[in-house]
Amino acid sequence: MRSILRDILPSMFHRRLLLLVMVVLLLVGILAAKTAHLTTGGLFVASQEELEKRLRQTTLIPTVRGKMYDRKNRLLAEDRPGWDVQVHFSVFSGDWAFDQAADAARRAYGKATWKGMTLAEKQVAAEPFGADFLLQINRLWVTLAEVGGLPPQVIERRQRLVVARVGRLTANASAYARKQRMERLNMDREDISFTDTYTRVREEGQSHAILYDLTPEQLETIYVFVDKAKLEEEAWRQTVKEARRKGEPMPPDTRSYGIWLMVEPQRVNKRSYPWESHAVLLDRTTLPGPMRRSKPLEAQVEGVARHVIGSMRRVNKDDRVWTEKPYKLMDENGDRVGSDLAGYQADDLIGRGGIESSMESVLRGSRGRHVRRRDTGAETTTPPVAGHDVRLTLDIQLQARIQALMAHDRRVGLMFSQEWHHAPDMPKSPKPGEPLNGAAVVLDIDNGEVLAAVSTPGVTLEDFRDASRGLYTEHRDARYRFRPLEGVYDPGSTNKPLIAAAAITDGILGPNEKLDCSRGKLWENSNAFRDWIYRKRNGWQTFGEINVVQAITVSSNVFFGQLAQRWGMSEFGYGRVPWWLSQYGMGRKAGCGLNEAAGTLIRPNELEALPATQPESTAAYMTIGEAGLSVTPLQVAAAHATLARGGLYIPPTLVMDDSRPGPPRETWQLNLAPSGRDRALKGMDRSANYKGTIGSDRGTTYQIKPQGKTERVFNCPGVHVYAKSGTAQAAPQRAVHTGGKLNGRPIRNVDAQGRVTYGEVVREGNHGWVVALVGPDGETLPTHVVVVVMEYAGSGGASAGPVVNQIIHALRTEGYLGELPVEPAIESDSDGEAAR
Amino acid sequence: MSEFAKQFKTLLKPGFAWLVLPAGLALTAIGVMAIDTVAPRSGNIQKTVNLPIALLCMLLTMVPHPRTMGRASFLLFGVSLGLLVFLLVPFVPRSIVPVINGARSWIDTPGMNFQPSEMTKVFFVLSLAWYFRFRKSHRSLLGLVFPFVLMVVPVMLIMMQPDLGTALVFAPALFAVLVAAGAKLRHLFSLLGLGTLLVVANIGIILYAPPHMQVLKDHQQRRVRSMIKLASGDTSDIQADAYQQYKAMTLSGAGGVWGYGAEQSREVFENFHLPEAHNDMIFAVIVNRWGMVGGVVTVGLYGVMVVGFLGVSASTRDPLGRLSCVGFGAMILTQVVVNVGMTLGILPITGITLPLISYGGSSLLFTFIMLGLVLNFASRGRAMMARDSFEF
Repeated sequence: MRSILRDILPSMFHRRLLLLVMVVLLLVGILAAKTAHLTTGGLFVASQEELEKRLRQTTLIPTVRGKMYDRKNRLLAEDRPGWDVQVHFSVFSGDWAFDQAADAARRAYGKATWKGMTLAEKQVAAEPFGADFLLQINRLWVTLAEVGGLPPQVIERRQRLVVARVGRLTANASAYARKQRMERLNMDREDISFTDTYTRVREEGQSHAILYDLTPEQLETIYVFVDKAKLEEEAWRQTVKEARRKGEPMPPDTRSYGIWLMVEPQRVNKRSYPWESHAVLLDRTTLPGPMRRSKPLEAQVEGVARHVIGSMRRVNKDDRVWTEKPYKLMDENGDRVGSDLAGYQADDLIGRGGIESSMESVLRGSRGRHVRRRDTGAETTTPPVAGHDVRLTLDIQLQARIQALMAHDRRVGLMFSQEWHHAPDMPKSPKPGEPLNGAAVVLDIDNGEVLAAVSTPGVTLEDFRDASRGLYTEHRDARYRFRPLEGVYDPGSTNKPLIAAAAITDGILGPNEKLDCSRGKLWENSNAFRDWIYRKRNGWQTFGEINVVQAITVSSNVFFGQLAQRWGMSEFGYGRVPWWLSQYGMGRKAGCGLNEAAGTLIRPNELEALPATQPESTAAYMTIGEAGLSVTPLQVAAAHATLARGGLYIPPTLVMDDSRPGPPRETWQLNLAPSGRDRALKGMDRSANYKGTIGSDRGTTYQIKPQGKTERVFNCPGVHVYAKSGTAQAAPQRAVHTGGKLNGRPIRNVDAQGRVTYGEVVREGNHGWVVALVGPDGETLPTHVVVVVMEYAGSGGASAGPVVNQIIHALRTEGYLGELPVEPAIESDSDGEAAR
Repeated sequence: MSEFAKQFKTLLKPGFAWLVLPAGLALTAIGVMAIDTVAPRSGNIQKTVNLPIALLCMLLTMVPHPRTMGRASFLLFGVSLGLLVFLLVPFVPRSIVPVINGARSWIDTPGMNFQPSEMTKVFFVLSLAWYFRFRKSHRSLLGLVFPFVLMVVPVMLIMMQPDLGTALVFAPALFAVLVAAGAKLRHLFSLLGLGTLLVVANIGIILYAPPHMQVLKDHQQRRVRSMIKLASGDTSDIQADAYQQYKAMTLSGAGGVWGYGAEQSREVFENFHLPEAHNDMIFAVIVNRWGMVGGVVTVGLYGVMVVGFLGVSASTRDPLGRLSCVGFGAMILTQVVVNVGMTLGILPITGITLPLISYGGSSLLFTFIMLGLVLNFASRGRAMMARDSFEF
């Protein structure tokens, strides 16, 4: 081969050139082949798709979130444009003052001198000028508080929160940069400080909201200041320019509104909640004696139904929708393959809590899209789809009224601990005068619609807006918890009417059959299960031989314990007790439209499988609501509504059926014996309305004795009340520690060995319940259920009874319990003592 | 008959010059149209200022006798090295030596920014050819030392600007000249093997060695990494280090077989910004506008031109001309391979122009000077008494 080549090309130079020509052809061939490869087949398609994407100018058209209404079509939430006031971060951090001081010092010292100074000298020189500018910042906060109608503390808190948030972002970014540098340079942690890798985040150069949702008047006031600042700045610039032109020394700085240049009203699309703050006029003439006043109270209720309605927040990467329903659709290789117009991307709003969250998919809607081809100018538009409106079952006016009644407001006083709540044993905490927490539910028996659901203490938009972090770490009052649905308590004696109807239905108790309760306790050798009257201080009294109506009236434990024993001995077994309670809706979620707790309820087979005498004792305690189950106030309300309906269980709901997505609510029939319901209601009737003849036969919700003066629990004319109280034993509430010190020692919930320790007792005693079935006088059956639970409040009748009574008044005022009576003249010779 | 007329007459006879000039002019026309697509203002300057000057210089370089140029080659090479040193002198005001894209590669002269490294390329090849003219010392390994020193000096100076792209073309030019000049292939392939080993070792170091063991600069490492990622289908870097290359590949790929055409391609580049589209990334414009056909034709024209250079080299007996044509051809081919290679994603991004096509006065001027010199060599008749050179 080599020799042939030499024969053809005897010149070595030419042979070498031939070699080079071959190299040239090879390289050119490679480049041509690669060009062909890139411009054909799959690479061509992928490139063209990528390019086509860039040629489309896409503008998203925002959607309108669905509105929210109450049962009477009063608007609860809507999207509307609004205004916030934002302030540049340099003002929040104080950097603005230092920058301005440096500018002032530079002007005072002259450019040349300033240039020759060291950094330290410059700082010293600028210091005397700083005070004025810091004062300007303080004045700004005060003025903004005044314009916004807020206490200065609120502005201060918002300021602190902004600084803390941006500080956290900076710290995270700097830490990440440090980690990156450590990895890149293979250095140890100690070698690189955070200062070396300080990373400025975008938020440090941005403005942040300090006032929200301004009225036009407030906005105008802000603009007056901003315009003044702009005019002043312009005039100052002219003066400086003039002085420079004439070669005169720099004039003194007379600007006083300079800081307003850092203030910026910002137009934002707002989720507006018209009922967030609502004034309610409360009649206090029917309150218990010490709280009674002749003068009505105009109470301003903040955060009306906030727990139910919820609020809005920015979506973040921890949200499920971020991965499950993203705006940008990706394939398995991480390449973008399209968009879901209803999907989520950064800065989108998403519901936080309440219906805003639970019905996010219904309310959200889908954004529209306008696409313009940049090369051809062709335009296509996909219109936005507005979110669906949602109608709640709440009566917002009733809700506001009940929230006013149950507020920690001493002018009303119902939610404060009283000595007569606990007589005779007072717990250490809550002490008389201390605020009580609790919940109330009002349910329409006909259809299971929740008319009002109140949690005390409540939350407001302000809490979510500024301090949601703090809100969710505050466990003492757990304001974030919506107690009607998420509060889980032992139901206590409120179970008894339900058990009575069930026992009669099962035939283990005759409607008029009497049981012997003269022993005062269920078991011969133990005082653990006894009637509340069977105590030393009562002279070991007993109820004697009583029927089921009397047993409910006086709330006999022994009577119902015996029913459990009868079930145990019957074909049904002890498991029948939890079975019945489950049928009443306990221990299961109702699907009311909001996040709710299921509570706990032992399963029948589990109960039967318990060792030795435990099935009997557990079943006995279950009949009086003290063991084997824990329930939410909503479940208690739904169970008693089921009793009132004669056994038809209708799941309670907060959302009107026409707004509920998915299948209709599933109801079921317990087929309670008519005599069972009759006896249970009769017992509840007597509990509320029977004064008794010998004291011990009086209804447990008949009367209270505030400061020794006897008065009826229920005093609403024209309304018939069937009630049952419950006083449920509860484990003490202990502090959940998140740091800090107690008696000089750090307090935690986990000790050095990793063992769980318990915080100090915050509250102790019994939860007080009252369930009331109410209806207008003359109606054969009640129309509404009212349930109130008062945490660690003591006697149910004494603590929750007056609250239920006021809710009944509120229902009547709102027209739910028949025609309103003619207003009686208020006799008020002497007002009661102020509630402690 | 004047000397120039005689030269012209020689050029009219069929020969390899017929490949060189039309190919060069066709590439220039493609370049002007491509620049016009993405930067009409630059395109206008290219065709009204840079191109006339370059064509004039090409004609001028056809005038002097090769021997005259050979004698002056070392002097001119020294001048260009002096200019390269001047670029690196600290405290020279930026009004004279501007920093463009982080490099001190230009001298601000009226009309255009003059790039001494482009001038150095021409005189390096001429000096090399003049040096090897009647030597056979390069047949031994020791004899390769001086040519390598001759290469290393400008390369180092250009690297210090820094301008890696331009520095890259010197070694292949030397290699090609040595091949043509009759250096022993086993020596050259040993050196090539060593060079390849160094490149492979460097890639290995970039990919696997800890940071303190890296040889290349941080941005160079990143470019290599991003190129490898992109080539393996990993698009995670497309918003960072692979940004330019990814865009260039996308724009090229989207051109398809026939391209978008002038109007649509202009719209595409307006809305899909490609940095340095009219300059280093001009091949992406060509493929986007004229598609695969345009790209293959362009590369083919370069092939024709470089083969033409080698043909002229083969047909002339003047040893200066023989080696100069090879050196110029190698330089142009290297530039094409690196530039097109980085646009197509087979080589990492580095700043290098596409000869005759990219926007730029110095690049166009000195490429046309190379063309002029090649035509000069082609236009000289065979010296009757000349003996064959580089025949060992």
